[in-house]
Amino acid sequence: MTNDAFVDSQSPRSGILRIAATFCLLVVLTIAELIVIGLDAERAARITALAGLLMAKVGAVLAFFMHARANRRAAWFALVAITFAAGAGVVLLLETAYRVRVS
Amino acid sequence: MSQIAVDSTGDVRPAPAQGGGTVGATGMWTFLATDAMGFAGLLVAYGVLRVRAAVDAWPDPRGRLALAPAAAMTFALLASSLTMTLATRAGGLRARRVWLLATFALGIAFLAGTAIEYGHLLGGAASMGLSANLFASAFYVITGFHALHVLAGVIGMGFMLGAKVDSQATETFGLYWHFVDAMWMPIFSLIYLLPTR
Repeated sequence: MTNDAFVDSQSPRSGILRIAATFCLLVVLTIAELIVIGLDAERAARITALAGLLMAKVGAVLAFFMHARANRRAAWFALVAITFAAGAGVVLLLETAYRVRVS
Repeated sequence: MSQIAVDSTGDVRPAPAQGGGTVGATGMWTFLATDAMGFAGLLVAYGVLRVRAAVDAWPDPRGRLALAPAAAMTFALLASSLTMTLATRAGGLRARRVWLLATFALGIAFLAGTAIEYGHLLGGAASMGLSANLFASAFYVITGFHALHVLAGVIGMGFMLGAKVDSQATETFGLYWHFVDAMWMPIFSLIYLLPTR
């Protein structure tokens, strides 16, 4: 019986590949953020894109680096708080975009 | 009676508590939950200040802050999460120490970047002191709060490098380090990237 809560049942090689893929994904998403803010697009559209990229980045760290599924009870408690922190950022990003649209 | 198990790296570790994780990991998750609320409070405060400020009254962060060094600091933190994960999965103490040392170096690089950024902002003709305006106050408080977390992590890693840590302790500490990485993401987006126009 395996009870390794964090390392899962995957082989070491596939685990390393998944970690590397997650890191590459985070780098790509960060580069995408830097590209988005330089685009000649409507401000609200850029902010909405930034919010989406932010959610994807935080989600990737939680899911693949922190293995939130492995420690369900405490993790859910923490996930709510962490999601609240990142969610506050997302809502405020969108709110700022909305405010400019109506003014 | 406590139970033990052998993980895929060959280390003996405590068996998971009911719910899937070990006691240490559960404690760390609980701490992270409370800490995340602190970050959330600061981010909400920043957002409220920004939303309430007149459009022209809020300085353009891209005009005051250097984006390239901040992006480099972001990549350093991302890379440190990778090396921390590799330290967690390392098969032996030596390999674990090597990856921890790499994480330690990247954490130091991030702190050095923060110190250099503060130096540039506080010095020069157009200096931005802590009480220059609302943006400056919020910027220093939020980035300073995060930098203190990185500093605490670096100090903790320093102790771990000098001790014979097992993979379980590394995993538990890794949760903290990934959390610090995750909390930088909304800070980077909200403060550095959010366009004013």
